[in-house]
Amino acid sequence: MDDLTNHLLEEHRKGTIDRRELLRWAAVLGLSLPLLDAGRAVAAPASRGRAAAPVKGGTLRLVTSTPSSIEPPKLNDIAGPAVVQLVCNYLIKLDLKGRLVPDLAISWKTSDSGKTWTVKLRTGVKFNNGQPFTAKDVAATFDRLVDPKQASTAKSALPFLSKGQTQVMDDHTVVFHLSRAVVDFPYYISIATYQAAILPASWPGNFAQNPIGTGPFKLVSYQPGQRASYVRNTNYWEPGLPYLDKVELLLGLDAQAQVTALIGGSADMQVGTQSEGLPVLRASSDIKIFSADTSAYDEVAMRVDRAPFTDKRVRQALAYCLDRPAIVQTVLKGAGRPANDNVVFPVFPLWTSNGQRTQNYPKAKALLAAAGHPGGFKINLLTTPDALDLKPLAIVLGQQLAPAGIQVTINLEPGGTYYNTDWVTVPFDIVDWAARPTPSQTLSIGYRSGAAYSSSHFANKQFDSLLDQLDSTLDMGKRKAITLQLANIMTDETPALIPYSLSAPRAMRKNVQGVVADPSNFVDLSRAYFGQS
Amino acid sequence: MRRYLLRRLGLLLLTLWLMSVAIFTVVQILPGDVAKVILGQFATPGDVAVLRQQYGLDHPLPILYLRWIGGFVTGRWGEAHSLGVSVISILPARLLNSLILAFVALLFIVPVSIAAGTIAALRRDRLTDKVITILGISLLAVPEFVSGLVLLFVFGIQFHLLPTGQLPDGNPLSSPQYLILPALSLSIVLFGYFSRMTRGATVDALESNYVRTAVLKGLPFRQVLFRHVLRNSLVPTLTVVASQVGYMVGGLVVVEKLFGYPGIGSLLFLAAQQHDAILLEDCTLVVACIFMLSNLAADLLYAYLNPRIRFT
Repeated sequence: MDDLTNHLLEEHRKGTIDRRELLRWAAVLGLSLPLLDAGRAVAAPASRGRAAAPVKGGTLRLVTSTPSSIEPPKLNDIAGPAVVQLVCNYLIKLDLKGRLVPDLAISWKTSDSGKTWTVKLRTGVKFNNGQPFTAKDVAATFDRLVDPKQASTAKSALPFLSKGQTQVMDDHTVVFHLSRAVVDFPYYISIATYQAAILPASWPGNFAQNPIGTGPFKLVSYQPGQRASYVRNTNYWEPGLPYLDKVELLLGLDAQAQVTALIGGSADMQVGTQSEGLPVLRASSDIKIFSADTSAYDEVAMRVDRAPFTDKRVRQALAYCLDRPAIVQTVLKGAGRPANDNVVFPVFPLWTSNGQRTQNYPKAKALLAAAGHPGGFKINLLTTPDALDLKPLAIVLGQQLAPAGIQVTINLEPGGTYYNTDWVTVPFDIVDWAARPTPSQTLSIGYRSGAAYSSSHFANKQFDSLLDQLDSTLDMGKRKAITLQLANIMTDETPALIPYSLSAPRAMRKNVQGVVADPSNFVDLSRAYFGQS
Repeated sequence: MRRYLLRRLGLLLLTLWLMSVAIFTVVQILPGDVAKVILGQFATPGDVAVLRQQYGLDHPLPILYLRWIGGFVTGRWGEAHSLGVSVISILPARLLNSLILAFVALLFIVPVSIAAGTIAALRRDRLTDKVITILGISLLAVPEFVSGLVLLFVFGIQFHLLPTGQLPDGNPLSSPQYLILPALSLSIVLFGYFSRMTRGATVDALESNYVRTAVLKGLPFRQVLFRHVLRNSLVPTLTVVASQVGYMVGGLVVVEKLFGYPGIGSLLFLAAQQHDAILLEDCTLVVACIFMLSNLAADLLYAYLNPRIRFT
């Protein structure tokens, strides 16, 4: 047993971490097979379905929007991963609680506190073109993602891995050599990095023409912007799976068209459900809705280097204007949880509550007066109507800031323009952030000093050094304490209003079984089947 | 006639060229590009540069324009990067789908609105006329996204009579039931327009001297209506129908989006959303061609049907 294992077991004995967390950390660090198997049983989505034996056969019609790309290295939205994930596996999956579950990797461990990671791979797996799956394919997949000569949307999430640093030890062992210690590394090679779908080393590009993977279904036809058709992979490595004969993935429908297709019976399930459709879907007796808590959120960013937000008291004043439970109800139709102006959400096992701000106009006015704005001020707020929740949030925000004398003018830009550069340059804007598996990732990308995507331009040396400590600390109790300190700094400094974290609802017809919601709207239909409604 | 046609065609080419410059300019001054859209808001500048280079977007504007328009004219339409396929593999099929939808809608709405307009004219100022007129004007005022939603709700969701989703295989001819709702929604917009046009022209014809003569010399009513009234009153209606073909093919963004119909309107919308310059430019120019050709056809049809007009 190495020092890490000892350390964890000791913490468990002391009561610092509970059994669930011990399992979770055992999984992160790849400690022992019995523990992993225990984690796996909990994770199987089918265990959530009905007790009746799954029925084989049938065609499931899944509906989503148009993907911006279906090339695995360039995936970047909800629809693209859905196209790929029916065909491909990852090294590691995540269960609903965010725990790591073996997929093509069967174990993983670090020998030097997080800088070098050895991953053992599953044997006897074949790609759907008959080729055997080996360590070379894993090395090629990760080299493809971090190759400076190839465009990839995963590169910025893997700054500690460079091309050639994924070493093939034997046919079924790879070793990742990182440039620094990353205790959470297994998350980065899991499905959370959804671009890391395992493709053969010889994959020539163009997924529509070369849909080669080890997953439960085979892509048989792809009509861009319209549909992708799949059949069962009869040689799938999980015995007896999948149950479905075919999957039809309908692309190119906007949120409203998806809801009408589902209620009208032309589709069986949505990849992800937008909150604006929830009231209609809830009213339909043919539809059931699952929901998963996520670490996705909408951010009202205030540039800390632009007036009037240079004064912390002004930023805090805005925070005290928000009636968060009301915002969750009106903007998200209930599909979210109030948050406390920091991005450490309850879904993370490292979370500890740091309280909850509530609406307090006298306090807001006092803070504004102290900062030299006794009568409030006028301000322009920029956002995009392309992400559906942002415009309603802007409107509600404007209404809730008005009683404190802050008059908001809302400006809207199409997504292509807004996400180009405007969202990180204007003083006051609302932007949507996707779910990320660890607080460290979310905090670094958006709030570290000088971060390229810091919409608030927040800069705090203490915050940065705590972030560094978080990535290199193994002690669970210490990690929790550091995370709480980070959350406290964020709440106090308030570089952004974080009114809520989002839930990920997924609507489906009642006869669809063996599949539930997913925090990132990932699609695993390997255990889906049609049953009684 | 030949000189007239040649002149019209020459003007058409000139207009198309000016359109191409305008389209190109507008598309290029939009901030952002397809590389940035594909890689998303968290892309590193290095990755965007790599992709721009792969897509050949890293050239000066005049080169990009010449390359696009040269390719367009010679049939090498380039790549639709946001979809990962060539434009030529997707645009003609989408255009055909839109033409099919327009044809089905016309097949339904032209006889219906001509009949309604004629009846209204024959029962001028009476209750039937007022009902048809008010109905036509009211429907004209209802935008497609309202009438379409109502149709979807009533026929698709409430009574489950018609499918609400996408065409199963992208081919409207193999599942024609998917055409009904979008065609109906399109017809609602055009009903008011076509029936008002027919009514006006029929009223004019009914008041003309030749119809009075025909009635007075004792011709049966049917013969007066079909030989003398309709033959004259349909001329303006048919030219209006022809001139609407451009709108019906390229202007259907709303209807096609609403019903998830794979036509050129929804493709155009997608191209704009993804900042896919080449696809957007190609689609817009094709739609512009259709507009101009349908207008030319309307003019020629009008002149052909009305011998008093001469080609000069």
